[in-house]
Amino acid sequence: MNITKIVMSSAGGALTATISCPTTPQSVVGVVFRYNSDQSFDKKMGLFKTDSPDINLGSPIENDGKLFMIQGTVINFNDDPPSPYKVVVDISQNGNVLSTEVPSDGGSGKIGDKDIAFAYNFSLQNQ
Amino acid sequence: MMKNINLLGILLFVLTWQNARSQDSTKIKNILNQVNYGVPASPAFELLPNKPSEVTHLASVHDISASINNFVDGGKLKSGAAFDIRPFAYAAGSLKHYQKSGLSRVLWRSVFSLGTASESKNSSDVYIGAGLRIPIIDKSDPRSHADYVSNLEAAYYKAYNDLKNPPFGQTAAEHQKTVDEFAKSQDIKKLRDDFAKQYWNAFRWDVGIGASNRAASGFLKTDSLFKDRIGLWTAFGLPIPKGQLTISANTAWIKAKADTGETNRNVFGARARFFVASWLSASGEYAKIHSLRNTVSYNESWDHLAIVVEFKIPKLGGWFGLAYGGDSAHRTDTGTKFSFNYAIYTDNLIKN
Repeated sequence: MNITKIVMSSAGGALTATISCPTTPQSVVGVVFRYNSDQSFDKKMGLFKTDSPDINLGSPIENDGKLFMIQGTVINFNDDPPSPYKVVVDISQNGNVLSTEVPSDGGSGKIGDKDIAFAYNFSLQNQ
Repeated sequence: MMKNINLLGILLFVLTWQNARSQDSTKIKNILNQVNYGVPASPAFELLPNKPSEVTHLASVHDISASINNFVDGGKLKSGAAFDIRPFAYAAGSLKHYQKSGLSRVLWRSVFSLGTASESKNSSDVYIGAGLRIPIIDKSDPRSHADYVSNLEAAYYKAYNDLKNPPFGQTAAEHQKTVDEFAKSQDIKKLRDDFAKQYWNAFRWDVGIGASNRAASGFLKTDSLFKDRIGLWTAFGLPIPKGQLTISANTAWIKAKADTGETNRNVFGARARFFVASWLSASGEYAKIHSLRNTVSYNESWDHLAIVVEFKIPKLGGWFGLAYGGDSAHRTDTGTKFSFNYAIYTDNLIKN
Protein backbone atom coordinates (compact mmCIF):
# COMPACT_ATOMS: atom_id res chain seq x y z
CA MET A 1 0.00 0.00 0.00
CA ASN A 2 1.40 3.41 -1.00
CA ILE A 3 0.98 6.24 1.48
CA THR A 4 2.33 9.62 0.43
CA LYS A 5 3.77 11.41 3.43
CA ILE A 6 3.06 15.15 3.32
CA VAL A 7 4.72 17.51 5.74
CA MET A 8 2.79 20.63 6.72
CA SER A 9 3.54 23.69 8.79
CA SER A 10 1.86 23.72 12.17
CA ALA A 11 1.32 27.47 11.77
CA GLY A 12 0.59 27.41 8.04
CA GLY A 13 -3.20 27.62 8.07
CA ALA A 14 -5.97 25.41 6.77
CA LEU A 15 -5.38 22.44 4.47
CA THR A 16 -7.20 21.67 1.27
CA ALA A 17 -7.30 18.64 -1.04
CA THR A 18 -8.12 19.36 -4.69
CA ILE A 19 -8.97 16.46 -6.99
CA SER A 20 -9.35 17.26 -10.68
CA CYS A 21 -8.53 16.37 -14.29
CA PRO A 22 -6.90 19.62 -15.47
CA THR A 23 -5.41 18.33 -18.74
CA THR A 24 -8.15 16.07 -20.09
CA PRO A 25 -11.91 16.71 -20.33
CA GLN A 26 -12.88 13.96 -17.93
CA SER A 27 -15.41 13.95 -15.16
CA VAL A 28 -14.35 12.83 -11.67
CA VAL A 29 -16.45 12.35 -8.58
CA GLY A 30 -15.40 10.93 -5.23
CA VAL A 31 -14.89 11.18 -1.52
CA VAL A 32 -12.12 11.86 1.02
CA PHE A 33 -12.00 9.85 4.28
CA ARG A 34 -9.81 10.51 7.32
CA TYR A 35 -8.40 7.79 9.57
CA ASN A 36 -6.47 7.77 12.83
CA SER A 37 -2.83 6.73 12.84
CA ASP A 38 -3.89 3.16 13.81
CA GLN A 39 -6.02 3.12 10.59
CA SER A 40 -9.32 3.22 12.49
CA PHE A 41 -11.99 5.34 10.80
CA ASP A 42 -12.22 8.96 11.91
CA LYS A 43 -14.34 11.10 9.61
CA LYS A 44 -15.78 11.56 6.12
CA MET A 45 -14.14 14.83 5.11
CA GLY A 46 -16.25 15.58 2.06
CA LEU A 47 -17.13 14.86 -1.53
CA PHE A 48 -15.75 16.32 -4.73
CA LYS A 49 -16.89 16.66 -8.34
CA THR A 50 -15.82 18.65 -11.38
CA ASP A 51 -17.32 22.00 -10.37
CA SER A 52 -16.43 21.60 -6.68
CA PRO A 53 -13.02 19.87 -6.59
CA ASP A 54 -11.84 21.28 -3.23
CA ILE A 55 -12.22 19.52 0.12
CA ASN A 56 -11.44 21.45 3.28
CA LEU A 57 -9.31 19.20 5.52
CA GLY A 58 -9.16 21.58 8.48
CA SER A 59 -6.30 22.86 10.60
CA PRO A 60 -2.80 21.37 10.99
CA ILE A 61 -3.44 20.67 14.67
CA GLU A 62 -6.39 18.36 14.06
CA ASN A 63 -4.66 16.60 11.11
CA ASP A 64 -1.24 15.89 12.59
CA GLY A 65 -0.52 12.17 12.19
CA LYS A 66 -3.79 11.48 10.42
CA LEU A 67 -4.20 9.21 7.39
CA PHE A 68 -6.39 10.06 4.41
CA MET A 69 -7.89 7.94 1.67
CA ILE A 70 -9.34 9.40 -1.52
CA GLN A 71 -11.66 7.17 -3.51
CA GLY A 72 -13.05 8.34 -6.80
CA THR A 73 -14.57 7.49 -10.14
CA VAL A 74 -13.66 8.67 -13.60
CA ILE A 75 -17.06 8.69 -15.29
CA ASN A 76 -17.25 7.07 -18.72
CA PHE A 77 -18.82 8.75 -21.75
CA ASN A 78 -18.72 5.67 -23.99
CA ASP A 79 -15.52 6.79 -25.70
CA ASP A 80 -14.60 4.77 -28.77
CA PRO A 81 -11.67 4.54 -29.08
CA PRO A 82 -10.93 4.87 -25.38
CA SER A 83 -9.68 8.25 -24.26
CA PRO A 84 -6.81 9.12 -21.91
CA TYR A 85 -7.40 10.47 -18.42
CA LYS A 86 -5.14 11.80 -15.70
CA VAL A 87 -6.39 12.61 -12.20
CA VAL A 88 -4.32 15.10 -10.22
CA VAL A 89 -4.42 15.40 -6.42
CA ASP A 90 -3.13 18.66 -4.96
CA ILE A 91 -2.70 19.10 -1.22
CA SER A 92 -2.30 22.73 -0.28
CA GLN A 93 -2.00 24.76 2.89
CA ASN A 94 -3.35 28.26 2.92
CA GLY A 95 -3.09 28.37 -0.88
CA ASN A 96 0.47 27.01 -1.06
CA VAL A 97 0.74 23.64 -2.78
CA LEU A 98 2.47 21.07 -0.57
CA SER A 99 2.09 18.11 -2.89
CA THR A 100 0.90 17.41 -6.43
CA GLU A 101 0.55 13.81 -7.51
CA VAL A 102 -1.18 11.59 -10.05
CA PRO A 103 -2.47 8.61 -8.02
CA SER A 104 -0.46 5.56 -9.03
CA ASP A 105 -3.46 3.32 -8.30
CA GLY A 106 -5.84 3.99 -11.19
CA GLY A 107 -5.13 7.71 -11.47
CA SER A 108 -4.16 7.61 -15.15
CA GLY A 109 -4.84 5.45 -18.17
CA LYS A 110 -7.59 4.93 -20.72
CA ILE A 111 -11.36 4.99 -20.34
CA GLY A 112 -13.92 3.61 -22.76
CA ASP A 113 -17.42 2.48 -21.84
CA LYS A 114 -16.77 1.54 -18.21
CA ASP A 115 -16.26 3.80 -15.21
CA ILE A 116 -12.78 3.63 -13.68
CA ALA A 117 -12.03 3.66 -9.96
CA PHE A 118 -8.95 5.30 -8.48
CA ALA A 119 -7.53 5.46 -4.98
CA TYR A 120 -4.94 7.62 -3.25
CA ASN A 121 -3.63 7.47 0.32
CA PHE A 122 -1.66 10.14 2.14
CA SER A 123 -0.70 11.17 5.63
CA LEU A 124 -0.21 14.64 7.11
CA GLN A 125 2.47 15.43 9.62
CA ASN A 126 3.63 18.62 11.22
CA GLN A 127 7.18 19.76 10.53
CA MET B 1 -51.39 -4.64 -31.38
CA MET B 2 -49.09 -7.67 -31.63
CA LYS B 3 -51.86 -9.61 -33.34
CA ASN B 4 -52.03 -6.94 -36.06
CA ILE B 5 -48.27 -7.00 -36.44
CA ASN B 6 -48.34 -10.75 -36.87
CA LEU B 7 -51.06 -10.57 -39.49
CA LEU B 8 -49.22 -7.78 -41.33
CA GLY B 9 -46.03 -9.81 -41.34
CA ILE B 10 -47.71 -12.95 -42.62
CA LEU B 11 -49.53 -10.94 -45.28
CA LEU B 12 -46.29 -9.41 -46.54
CA PHE B 13 -44.67 -12.80 -46.45
CA VAL B 14 -47.36 -14.21 -48.74
CA LEU B 15 -47.48 -11.15 -51.04
CA THR B 16 -43.75 -11.23 -51.68
CA TRP B 17 -43.46 -14.98 -51.98
CA GLN B 18 -43.83 -15.01 -55.75
CA ASN B 19 -41.28 -12.34 -56.62
CA ALA B 20 -38.80 -12.52 -53.77
CA ARG B 21 -35.38 -13.91 -54.61
CA SER B 22 -33.97 -15.07 -51.34
CA GLN B 23 -34.88 -16.37 -47.93
CA ASP B 24 -31.41 -15.64 -46.64
CA SER B 25 -30.73 -12.45 -44.68
CA THR B 26 -27.25 -12.22 -46.26
CA LYS B 27 -28.71 -10.57 -49.35
CA ILE B 28 -30.44 -7.89 -47.27
CA LYS B 29 -27.30 -7.40 -45.17
CA ASN B 30 -25.24 -6.95 -48.34
CA ILE B 31 -27.68 -4.42 -49.77
CA LEU B 32 -27.58 -2.46 -46.51
CA ASN B 33 -23.81 -2.60 -46.07
CA GLN B 34 -22.67 -2.15 -49.66
CA VAL B 35 -22.19 1.60 -49.32
CA ASN B 36 -20.77 3.17 -46.17
CA TYR B 37 -22.56 6.47 -45.53
CA GLY B 38 -20.41 7.61 -42.64
CA VAL B 39 -16.78 8.51 -42.25
CA PRO B 40 -14.92 5.30 -41.34
CA ALA B 41 -13.96 5.02 -37.67
CA SER B 42 -10.38 4.49 -38.86
CA PRO B 43 -9.80 5.91 -42.36
CA ALA B 44 -6.36 4.29 -42.46
CA PHE B 45 -7.81 0.80 -42.30
CA GLU B 46 -10.40 1.55 -44.96
CA LEU B 47 -7.64 1.94 -47.55
CA LEU B 48 -5.90 -1.34 -46.74
CA PRO B 49 -6.64 -4.52 -48.71
CA ASN B 50 -7.73 -6.21 -45.46
CA LYS B 51 -8.85 -4.63 -42.21
CA PRO B 52 -6.71 -5.46 -39.16
CA SER B 53 -8.46 -7.86 -36.81
CA GLU B 54 -7.08 -6.26 -33.68
CA VAL B 55 -6.43 -2.58 -33.00
CA THR B 56 -4.32 -1.37 -30.10
CA HIS B 57 -5.77 1.76 -28.51
CA LEU B 58 -2.95 4.00 -27.34
CA ALA B 59 -3.45 6.56 -24.59
CA SER B 60 -0.55 8.95 -25.27
CA VAL B 61 2.04 9.72 -27.91
CA HIS B 62 4.66 8.19 -25.58
CA ASP B 63 3.01 4.81 -26.18
CA ILE B 64 3.71 5.05 -29.91
CA SER B 65 7.40 4.22 -29.55
CA ALA B 66 6.51 1.01 -27.69
CA SER B 67 3.94 0.13 -30.34
CA ILE B 68 6.34 0.63 -33.27
CA ASN B 69 7.92 -2.75 -32.45
CA ASN B 70 4.66 -4.36 -33.58
CA PHE B 71 5.07 -2.78 -37.01
CA VAL B 72 8.71 -3.42 -37.89
CA ASP B 73 10.81 -6.55 -37.72
CA GLY B 74 14.38 -6.45 -39.02
CA GLY B 75 13.74 -3.40 -41.21
CA LYS B 76 10.62 -4.96 -42.74
CA LEU B 77 7.01 -4.05 -42.15
CA LYS B 78 4.92 -6.68 -40.40
CA SER B 79 1.42 -7.30 -41.64
CA GLY B 80 -1.66 -7.09 -39.39
CA ALA B 81 -0.44 -4.42 -36.96
CA ALA B 82 -2.73 -1.52 -36.09
CA PHE B 83 -3.17 1.21 -33.53
CA ASP B 84 -5.22 4.29 -33.02
CA ILE B 85 -4.75 7.28 -30.77
CA ARG B 86 -6.26 10.66 -29.98
CA PRO B 87 -3.13 12.63 -30.91
CA PHE B 88 -4.27 16.00 -29.59
CA ALA B 89 -6.05 14.74 -26.47
CA TYR B 90 -3.78 16.52 -24.02
CA ALA B 91 -4.34 19.82 -25.83
CA ALA B 92 -8.07 19.66 -25.08
CA GLY B 93 -7.79 20.93 -21.51
CA SER B 94 -10.25 20.47 -18.67
CA LEU B 95 -13.90 19.50 -19.01
CA LYS B 96 -15.00 23.09 -18.30
CA HIS B 97 -12.72 24.38 -21.08
CA TYR B 98 -13.94 21.63 -23.41
CA GLN B 99 -17.55 22.66 -22.96
CA LYS B 100 -16.72 26.25 -23.92
CA SER B 101 -14.23 25.74 -26.74
CA GLY B 102 -15.13 24.33 -30.15
CA LEU B 103 -11.43 23.88 -30.98
CA SER B 104 -10.92 21.87 -27.79
CA ARG B 105 -13.75 19.53 -28.79
CA VAL B 106 -12.35 19.01 -32.30
CA LEU B 107 -8.86 18.31 -30.92
CA TRP B 108 -10.19 15.81 -28.40
CA ARG B 109 -12.40 13.88 -30.81
CA SER B 110 -9.81 13.56 -33.59
CA VAL B 111 -8.41 10.05 -33.95
CA PHE B 112 -5.25 9.08 -35.82
CA SER B 113 -4.88 5.49 -37.00
CA LEU B 114 -2.03 3.51 -38.50
CA GLY B 115 -2.19 -0.05 -39.80
CA THR B 116 -0.58 -2.63 -42.06
CA ALA B 117 -2.03 -5.47 -44.12
CA SER B 118 -1.09 -7.88 -46.89
CA GLU B 119 -3.20 -8.38 -49.96
CA SER B 120 -3.20 -12.15 -49.40
CA LYS B 121 -1.37 -14.78 -47.38
CA ASN B 122 0.89 -15.54 -50.35
CA SER B 123 1.84 -11.90 -51.00
CA SER B 124 5.05 -10.57 -49.47
CA ASP B 125 4.10 -6.95 -50.17
CA VAL B 126 2.78 -5.07 -47.16
CA TYR B 127 0.42 -2.11 -47.33
CA ILE B 128 0.68 0.62 -44.71
CA GLY B 129 -2.14 3.08 -44.17
CA ALA B 130 -2.41 6.21 -42.05
CA GLY B 131 -5.50 8.30 -41.46
CA LEU B 132 -7.15 10.97 -39.39
CA ARG B 133 -10.82 11.15 -38.46
CA ILE B 134 -12.07 14.56 -37.38
CA PRO B 135 -15.57 14.85 -35.93
CA ILE B 136 -15.98 18.61 -36.41
CA ILE B 137 -19.46 18.94 -34.96
CA ASP B 138 -21.11 16.32 -32.76
CA LYS B 139 -24.25 17.37 -30.93
CA SER B 140 -24.55 13.84 -29.55
CA ASP B 141 -21.30 14.21 -27.62
CA PRO B 142 -22.33 13.79 -23.95
CA ARG B 143 -19.34 15.78 -22.62
CA SER B 144 -20.46 18.90 -24.44
CA HIS B 145 -23.84 18.87 -22.65
CA ALA B 146 -23.05 20.61 -19.36
CA ASP B 147 -26.49 19.86 -17.88
CA TYR B 148 -26.18 16.15 -18.60
CA VAL B 149 -22.66 15.98 -17.13
CA SER B 150 -23.82 17.90 -14.09
CA ASN B 151 -26.79 15.56 -13.53
CA LEU B 152 -24.62 12.49 -14.01
CA GLU B 153 -22.05 13.79 -11.54
CA ALA B 154 -24.82 14.60 -9.07
CA ALA B 155 -26.03 10.98 -9.25
CA TYR B 156 -22.51 9.67 -8.52
CA TYR B 157 -22.12 12.32 -5.81
CA LYS B 158 -25.26 11.00 -4.13
CA ALA B 159 -23.95 7.44 -4.38
CA TYR B 160 -20.67 8.49 -2.71
CA ASN B 161 -22.62 10.35 -0.05
CA ASP B 162 -24.39 7.10 0.85
CA LEU B 163 -21.14 5.10 0.83
CA LYS B 164 -20.28 3.47 4.14
CA ASN B 165 -16.80 3.89 5.58
CA PRO B 166 -14.39 1.55 3.81
CA PRO B 167 -11.24 0.22 5.51
CA PHE B 168 -8.13 2.32 5.06
CA GLY B 169 -5.92 1.31 2.13
CA GLN B 170 -8.62 -0.13 -0.06
CA THR B 171 -7.17 -0.41 -3.56
CA ALA B 172 -8.66 0.93 -6.79
CA ALA B 173 -9.40 -2.66 -7.84
CA GLU B 174 -11.36 -3.20 -4.64
CA HIS B 175 -13.15 0.13 -5.02
CA GLN B 176 -13.98 -0.77 -8.64
CA LYS B 177 -16.63 -3.22 -7.37
CA THR B 178 -18.42 -0.35 -5.63
CA VAL B 179 -18.10 1.84 -8.73
CA ASP B 180 -19.58 -0.94 -10.87
CA GLU B 181 -22.54 -1.06 -8.50
CA PHE B 182 -22.98 2.72 -8.82
CA ALA B 183 -23.15 2.35 -12.61
CA LYS B 184 -25.98 -0.18 -12.26
CA SER B 185 -28.12 2.16 -10.15
CA GLN B 186 -31.46 3.16 -11.60
CA ASP B 187 -30.68 6.91 -11.40
CA ILE B 188 -27.49 6.61 -13.41
CA LYS B 189 -28.88 4.12 -15.92
CA LYS B 190 -31.92 6.31 -16.51
CA LEU B 191 -29.79 9.40 -17.12
CA ARG B 192 -27.65 7.53 -19.64
CA ASP B 193 -30.63 5.90 -21.38
CA ASP B 194 -32.55 9.17 -21.60
CA PHE B 195 -29.56 10.96 -23.08
CA ALA B 196 -28.98 8.24 -25.68
CA LYS B 197 -32.67 8.29 -26.58
CA GLN B 198 -32.73 12.07 -26.97
CA TYR B 199 -29.47 12.62 -28.83
CA TRP B 200 -28.70 9.46 -30.83
CA ASN B 201 -29.64 11.20 -34.09
CA ALA B 202 -28.36 14.70 -33.22
CA PHE B 203 -26.55 16.73 -35.85
CA ARG B 204 -22.96 15.77 -36.58
CA TRP B 205 -20.37 16.50 -39.23
CA ASP B 206 -17.36 14.24 -39.66
CA VAL B 207 -14.37 14.49 -41.98
CA GLY B 208 -11.76 11.83 -42.68
CA ILE B 209 -8.52 11.68 -44.61
CA GLY B 210 -6.22 8.75 -45.22
CA ALA B 211 -3.37 7.53 -47.40
CA SER B 212 -1.72 4.20 -48.03
CA ASN B 213 1.55 2.99 -49.51
CA ARG B 214 2.70 -0.42 -50.69
CA ALA B 215 6.02 -1.64 -49.35
CA ALA B 216 7.46 -4.12 -51.85
CA SER B 217 8.37 -7.30 -49.93
CA GLY B 218 7.70 -5.28 -46.78
CA PHE B 219 10.91 -3.24 -47.10
CA LEU B 220 10.73 0.24 -45.60
CA LYS B 221 13.15 1.81 -48.07
CA THR B 222 12.48 4.73 -50.37
CA ASP B 223 12.90 2.62 -53.51
CA SER B 224 10.53 -0.05 -52.14
CA LEU B 225 7.68 2.23 -51.13
CA PHE B 226 4.99 2.93 -53.71
CA LYS B 227 1.98 5.20 -53.41
CA ASP B 228 -1.23 3.21 -53.35
CA ARG B 229 -4.25 5.39 -52.58
CA ILE B 230 -5.53 8.53 -50.89
CA GLY B 231 -9.04 8.83 -49.49
CA LEU B 232 -11.22 11.74 -48.40
CA TRP B 233 -14.58 11.40 -46.63
CA THR B 234 -17.18 13.74 -45.30
CA ALA B 235 -20.59 12.96 -43.79
CA PHE B 236 -23.44 14.87 -42.18
CA GLY B 237 -25.90 13.26 -39.79
CA LEU B 238 -29.21 15.10 -39.43
CA PRO B 239 -32.15 14.42 -37.14
CA ILE B 240 -35.48 13.65 -38.79
CA PRO B 241 -38.72 12.56 -37.07
CA LYS B 242 -38.14 9.11 -35.57
CA GLY B 243 -34.96 8.73 -37.57
CA GLN B 244 -31.71 10.00 -38.96
CA LEU B 245 -30.67 11.24 -42.38
CA THR B 246 -27.03 10.80 -43.38
CA ILE B 247 -25.56 12.57 -46.38
CA SER B 248 -22.06 11.56 -47.37
CA ALA B 249 -19.43 11.92 -50.05
CA ASN B 250 -16.08 10.26 -50.47
CA THR B 251 -13.38 10.10 -53.06
CA ALA B 252 -10.35 7.86 -53.44
CA TRP B 253 -7.37 8.37 -55.73
CA ILE B 254 -5.85 5.05 -56.61
CA LYS B 255 -2.49 4.17 -58.15
CA ALA B 256 -3.67 1.98 -61.01
CA LYS B 257 -1.83 -1.31 -61.52
CA ALA B 258 -2.81 -1.51 -65.20
CA ASP B 259 -3.84 0.85 -67.99
CA THR B 260 -7.44 -0.17 -67.48
CA GLY B 261 -7.18 -0.05 -63.71
CA GLU B 262 -9.26 2.25 -61.54
CA THR B 263 -7.62 5.60 -60.74
CA ASN B 264 -10.42 7.38 -58.94
CA ARG B 265 -13.69 6.41 -57.27
CA ASN B 266 -16.28 8.95 -56.15
CA VAL B 267 -19.32 8.04 -54.10
CA PHE B 268 -22.10 10.44 -53.19
CA GLY B 269 -25.20 9.30 -51.35
CA ALA B 270 -27.78 9.64 -48.64
CA ARG B 271 -29.51 7.28 -46.27
CA ALA B 272 -32.56 7.72 -44.06
CA ARG B 273 -33.34 5.33 -41.25
CA PHE B 274 -36.61 5.32 -39.37
CA PHE B 275 -37.43 3.60 -36.11
CA VAL B 276 -41.18 3.96 -36.18
CA ALA B 277 -41.87 1.57 -33.31
CA SER B 278 -40.03 -1.11 -31.40
CA TRP B 279 -41.39 -3.59 -33.94
CA LEU B 280 -41.02 -1.56 -37.13
CA SER B 281 -37.92 -0.05 -38.78
CA ALA B 282 -37.24 1.17 -42.27
CA SER B 283 -34.24 2.29 -44.24
CA GLY B 284 -33.97 4.00 -47.60
CA GLU B 285 -30.73 4.87 -49.34
CA TYR B 286 -29.41 6.00 -52.68
CA ALA B 287 -25.85 6.44 -53.87
CA LYS B 288 -24.18 7.33 -57.15
CA ILE B 289 -20.81 5.71 -57.80
CA HIS B 290 -18.33 6.95 -60.41
CA SER B 291 -15.32 4.84 -61.28
CA LEU B 292 -12.65 6.51 -63.42
CA ARG B 293 -9.91 4.64 -65.27
CA ASN B 294 -6.68 5.49 -67.08
CA THR B 295 -8.43 4.64 -70.31
CA VAL B 296 -11.43 6.94 -70.48
CA SER B 297 -13.59 4.48 -72.39
CA TYR B 298 -13.44 2.16 -69.36
CA ASN B 299 -14.97 4.75 -67.04
CA GLU B 300 -18.28 3.67 -65.54
CA SER B 301 -20.91 4.85 -63.12
CA TRP B 302 -23.86 3.20 -61.50
CA ASP B 303 -26.65 3.70 -59.00
CA HIS B 304 -27.09 1.95 -55.71
CA LEU B 305 -30.53 1.77 -54.17
CA ALA B 306 -31.85 0.04 -51.07
CA ILE B 307 -35.26 0.19 -49.45
CA VAL B 308 -35.66 -2.14 -46.50
CA VAL B 309 -38.54 -2.55 -44.09
CA GLU B 310 -38.38 -4.95 -41.18
CA PHE B 311 -41.04 -6.09 -38.73
CA LYS B 312 -40.60 -7.87 -35.46
CA ILE B 313 -42.79 -10.96 -35.49
CA PRO B 314 -42.32 -13.05 -32.36
CA LYS B 315 -44.29 -15.99 -33.81
CA LEU B 316 -41.76 -16.23 -36.65
CA GLY B 317 -38.88 -16.20 -34.16
CA GLY B 318 -37.52 -12.72 -34.83
CA TRP B 319 -37.73 -10.25 -37.68
CA PHE B 320 -39.22 -10.35 -41.12
CA GLY B 321 -37.32 -8.17 -43.58
CA LEU B 322 -38.40 -7.06 -47.01
CA ALA B 323 -35.91 -5.35 -49.29
CA TYR B 324 -35.78 -3.87 -52.73
CA GLY B 325 -32.52 -2.71 -54.20
CA GLY B 326 -29.04 -3.47 -55.39
CA ASP B 327 -26.83 -1.90 -58.04
CA SER B 328 -27.81 -0.87 -61.55
CA ALA B 329 -26.03 -2.67 -64.36
CA HIS B 330 -22.63 -1.31 -65.34
CA ARG B 331 -19.65 -2.30 -67.48
CA THR B 332 -17.94 -4.55 -64.94
CA ASP B 333 -21.21 -6.10 -63.75
CA THR B 334 -23.68 -6.19 -66.59
CA GLY B 335 -25.89 -8.78 -64.95
CA THR B 336 -26.71 -6.90 -61.77
CA LYS B 337 -30.10 -5.30 -61.25
CA PHE B 338 -32.49 -4.16 -58.57
CA SER B 339 -34.40 -7.01 -57.00
CA PHE B 340 -36.81 -7.93 -54.22
CA ASN B 341 -35.57 -10.00 -51.31
CA TYR B 342 -37.10 -11.18 -48.08
CA ALA B 343 -35.82 -13.06 -45.08
CA ILE B 344 -36.63 -14.04 -41.54
CA TYR B 345 -33.84 -13.53 -39.04
CA THR B 346 -33.18 -13.37 -35.32
CA ASP B 347 -31.57 -9.94 -34.88
CA ASN B 348 -32.72 -6.73 -36.54
CA LEU B 349 -30.54 -5.50 -39.41
CA ILE B 350 -31.50 -1.82 -39.28
CA LYS B 351 -29.76 -0.31 -36.29
CA ASN B 352 -29.31 3.24 -35.04
